[in-house]
Amino acid sequence: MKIELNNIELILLSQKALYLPEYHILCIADWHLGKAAHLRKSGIPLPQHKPDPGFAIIEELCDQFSITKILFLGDLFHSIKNNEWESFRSFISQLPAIEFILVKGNHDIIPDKFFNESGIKTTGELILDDKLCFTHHPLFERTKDGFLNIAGHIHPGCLIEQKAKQIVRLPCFYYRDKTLVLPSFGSLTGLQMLPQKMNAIFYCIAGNHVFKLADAV
Amino acid sequence: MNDFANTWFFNNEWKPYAFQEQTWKAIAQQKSGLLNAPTGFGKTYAIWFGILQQYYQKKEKKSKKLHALWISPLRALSKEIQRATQQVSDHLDLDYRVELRTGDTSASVRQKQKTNTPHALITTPESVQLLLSSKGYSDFFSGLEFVVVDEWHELLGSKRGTLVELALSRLKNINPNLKIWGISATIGNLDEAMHILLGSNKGVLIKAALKKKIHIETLLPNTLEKYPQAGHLGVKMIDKVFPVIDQHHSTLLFTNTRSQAEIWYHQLLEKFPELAGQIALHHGSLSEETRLWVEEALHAGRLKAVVCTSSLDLGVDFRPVDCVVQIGSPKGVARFMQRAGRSGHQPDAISKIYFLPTHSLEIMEGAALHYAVSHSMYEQRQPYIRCFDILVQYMVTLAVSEGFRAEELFNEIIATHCFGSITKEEFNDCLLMITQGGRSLEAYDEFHKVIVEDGLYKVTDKYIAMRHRLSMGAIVSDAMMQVRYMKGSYLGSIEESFISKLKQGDAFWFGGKLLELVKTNAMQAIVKSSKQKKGIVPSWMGGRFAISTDFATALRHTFQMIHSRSKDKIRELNFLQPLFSLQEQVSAIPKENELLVEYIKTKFGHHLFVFPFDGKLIHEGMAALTAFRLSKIKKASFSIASNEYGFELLSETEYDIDAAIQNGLFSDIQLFEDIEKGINISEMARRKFRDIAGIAGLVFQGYPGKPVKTNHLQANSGLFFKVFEEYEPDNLLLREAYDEVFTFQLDYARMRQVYQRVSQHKIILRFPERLTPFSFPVFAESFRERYSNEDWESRLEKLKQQLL
Repeated sequence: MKIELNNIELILLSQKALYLPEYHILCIADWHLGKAAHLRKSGIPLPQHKPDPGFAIIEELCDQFSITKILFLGDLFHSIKNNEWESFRSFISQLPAIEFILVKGNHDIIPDKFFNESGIKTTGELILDDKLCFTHHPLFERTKDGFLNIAGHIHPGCLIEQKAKQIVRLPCFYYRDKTLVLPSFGSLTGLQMLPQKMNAIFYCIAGNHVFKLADAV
Repeated sequence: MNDFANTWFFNNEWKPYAFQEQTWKAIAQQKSGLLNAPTGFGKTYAIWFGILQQYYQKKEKKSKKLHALWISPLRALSKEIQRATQQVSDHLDLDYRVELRTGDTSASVRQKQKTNTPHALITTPESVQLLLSSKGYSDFFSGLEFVVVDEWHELLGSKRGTLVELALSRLKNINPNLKIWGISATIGNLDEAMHILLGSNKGVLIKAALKKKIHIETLLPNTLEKYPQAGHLGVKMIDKVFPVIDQHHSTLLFTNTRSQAEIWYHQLLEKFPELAGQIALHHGSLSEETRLWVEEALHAGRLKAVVCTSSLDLGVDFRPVDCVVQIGSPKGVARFMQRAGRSGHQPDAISKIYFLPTHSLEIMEGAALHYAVSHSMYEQRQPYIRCFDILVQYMVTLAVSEGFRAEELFNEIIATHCFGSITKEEFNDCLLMITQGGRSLEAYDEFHKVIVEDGLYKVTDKYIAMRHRLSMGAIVSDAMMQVRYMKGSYLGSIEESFISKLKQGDAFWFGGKLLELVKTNAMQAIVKSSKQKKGIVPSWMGGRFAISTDFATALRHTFQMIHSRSKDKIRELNFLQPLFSLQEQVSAIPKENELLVEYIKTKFGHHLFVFPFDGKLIHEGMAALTAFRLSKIKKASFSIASNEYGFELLSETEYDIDAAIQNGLFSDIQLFEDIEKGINISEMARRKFRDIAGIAGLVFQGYPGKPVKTNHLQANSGLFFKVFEEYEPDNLLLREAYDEVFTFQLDYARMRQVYQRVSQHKIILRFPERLTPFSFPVFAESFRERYSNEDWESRLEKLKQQLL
């Protein structure tokens, strides 16, 4: 689904990622890679699906769009390094034409040097063109005038009530106060249901399409 | 016969009951057994003097090992038992030492008990597991001669009972001559209860032939509300309660939920300020200190009334209590009787219980209670079987302490009732789960929990051991937040999910006090007294009881009496007559051999109401099945609601219901196939899986009372459920969730009985213009389930104007 915010064209992808065609940037938030491996290492028998389905999705998106940069908006890895790290490194090395940047999140406790050695830049926030500000934690009211904040962290979800009292919970893109929050990309993450306030817009993901909440009701 | 008992009874000028003498004799004959006796008649002594005699009659040199283990389900009860039994030693000048071992026992005392072991420990099922998780347990228990399990009926129907079964299987292995005694209130399956507890031990069932006199009375409202709805509307009846409290020395008011208790407590004080200082509140979320204070004050007879939940259901004798009020449906006959027995504790005193219905239709339950009690329709307690979550936990427990050998453990557990039917393969799957995190072994997998060295399964990682010890047990709760005053004093705990919905400055009721949230930090909610007038009442999670099948039978019987001429004699039915007349007028009242079906159109859609009067659990299953059968006719999605009397299917799609009924909507043909294929039970299973994941150690609850960061290890059970369904559909824990749905919710056997009965019935189909006195409460139920307790009532009031 194509939308425009702050005069910037944005493509909201049902793969739970965001594409900025003018900048050839793909944004991915809250992948939480290595979560299953981390839990397993601690004796919690969560089945680990290998390879992580996210790798194939990114490859597919690279075929579809002319991506030059991939921006991870925090919580790329769930915790300390584990066997998933090697899978990730080898995946990165297969995409030499793409620049990788990690905007660090609260889960990103792997030291910067490991990322940098693998060719991934790390930063706390990223500013582009005096109108785009990428962070992990959404800024909302604190977003500077003239800027659009693109962030992650909250794993937004939307609770939709339909007729005959049916309820569905969907992952979504969430926009309010000059801030667009991305859905979490990881397959092992939960959803946080957000209240449907007047000034908030929900772009929900159902199967392979994205729709604005008001359109559905 | 028993010298200690004789002296003790002589000193107290008591005369032993026959059941006490029988028990002393049986224990003297080295038997195990189960004792069934009402409270207040000295069942503790019946067993205790048997134990003492066995200990002192041994000629050989006394060992310094633990001699008896007394397991009770409640800490409060443990204290009571410890007090009573230690008193015996003190008064008879015996060196037999009795100590407590519960979650409250300090580390230093626990350490002392290891080196200077008492003769008997009074403890809980969880603490026994903790003992098994500490090194040296086999030596600690090596001199054990007796295990007594108190209130066994209470443990039996829960997974805590499974913990007891497993502990006993190991203790028997350590001491082949171990004698096991259970104490149980009256339930429908006492024989089975004994066999499950004793396992391979043979035993005697001793029943005290004592009938407690009981007085049951339903409190009726002044006016009859013809469109009843469930909920805490019972507080409208508060005026009826005051005279009851006033006329008695000390009254216990039982509610079914903690939030109801909070509401009743503050409403009582508001309406009758003269009760201030004379009434108290008691429920499981309040701090130990508060609860103890209330219990002491009850003992001393200083309280006129206590509003409480099942936290005061069990065991402890409060002699001054001479009256009990049950607020809302007791849901089961045995539970009702147990609560009644909290009053008139002295032998020969009459137990007095008032039933206070919280909505009009519930008044019927008053009549049903009379019937059920007079016909001794005590429920059976259905034991859990094949609890792989408990087994996995237990394996790790043993691995944490001294380790276990697979073959030996298998032989032990296979002798228990719970695991009697598991196969070697299933057992091996459990081993795989704890050693390599599942069946599939992948390269580079770093799974780390239990390791095998020379055939010995053990845990070597101290963090894994610590996390395991902290999350043991069979009771799974949400993340709890401690409620504290700014100065630090501790009030109790509330689910994090409730606190997280509050803003700073919001007022809420807790422990009967109106509190204001000052701030939250880590796992603490800091509060101060509020000056506001209104506050919200927290709704705690936790199982809402459904009506038992036996009680449903009694209810159906009562219902049939509406048509009989004898109804005038039954006070409750007489009172409800106007409601029945209205129902008859706008729809119909089904006879014994009829099934009432209402099909009503409102702005929400098309409502199908069916009234089998079989209890909520069965109705949930029937509703799902009916939805499946309807969707075979025309695809649609349904919202489902149910209560004790019937169920509702709501959809946007309209059906030709008459034709659907003709074509076997309620038929018993193809019943199994339809249940197997049709019902989407994954949602039900997902809910069951929540507890299973917690027990099996998949979901780490965090450190109780220690707000340590465990973020990176937190994952909710819903996520596990999803992942297992996708990647490991034959996982034992996942299958257990489905099995529990089939056993406890979609009970095959019961469903068949119901459908066989219903298919003989004449179906009365009505198309009322509006919701009827019968259908409105079912409709209201779906509101209660979806909105917070403050919200739903006002919404419903508005809707009432439109819908009725």
